Amino acid sequence: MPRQKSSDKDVAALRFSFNHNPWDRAAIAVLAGGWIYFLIAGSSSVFRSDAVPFVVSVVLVAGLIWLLGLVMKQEAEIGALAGEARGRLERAAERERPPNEEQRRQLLGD
Amino acid sequence: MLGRGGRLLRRVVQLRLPADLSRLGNRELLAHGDRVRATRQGFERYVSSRRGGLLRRLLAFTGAACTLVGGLDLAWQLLGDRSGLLDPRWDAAVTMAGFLALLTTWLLGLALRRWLRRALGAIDALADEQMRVDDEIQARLLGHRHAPRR
Repeated sequence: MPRQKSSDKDVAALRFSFNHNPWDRAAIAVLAGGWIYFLIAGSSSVFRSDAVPFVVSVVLVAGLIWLLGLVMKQEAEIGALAGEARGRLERAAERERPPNEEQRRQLLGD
Repeated sequence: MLGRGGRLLRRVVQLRLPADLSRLGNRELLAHGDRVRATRQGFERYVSSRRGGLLRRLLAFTGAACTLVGGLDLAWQLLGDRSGLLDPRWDAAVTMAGFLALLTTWLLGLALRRWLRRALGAIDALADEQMRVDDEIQARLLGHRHAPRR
């Protein structure tokens, strides 16, 4: 059976489809900055009872939901990459033809 | 998690794939083939083990739970009771914990994704090298090429 070398096309396609979205990073940076601001500027008063504006709660929870969605999307990408890696490893294991003991002895001249 | 994965990638680099296998002696060729196979099997064991994802899954679950609690509290406020389900301090702590958990999950996921991309390239290189070594061994066994025995 002819043996084919694995193609780099698949890897390139995966790299392209899983490219980072810079907006995701920017949004996370804004969200993290907002949290840091609240920690520094309002650690004692902002979070207390009525001091927290309602709109801030809405923004924070919406940000959390968005971040959760981002993590779930990333999880799907990681699952696809891990599946691809497992598939390639299985194919490599199927293709291998290691020399048996007799062949080894023959090669080593024993 | 990534420490073991990083060592595996380093092992691929350290294999120093020879350009011309016919220059290797039979003993060296067999040893090289064994090293390549052992490295590939190391990848198999690592990729199939699920321990690496445990921390990330735990963090993601924590983040999802905190998001749910925060969302419920917000919905409670939207429905009319402005005081919400939780004390505001607890509300802030829960959403903060959720944010940190999800952020950590995302950062760990970035590292894992990067490793997997590099691992795909390494797996291809190992598979190609394994084929090359096996073909060379078979050729020598069939007497197509006479390599020096060292």
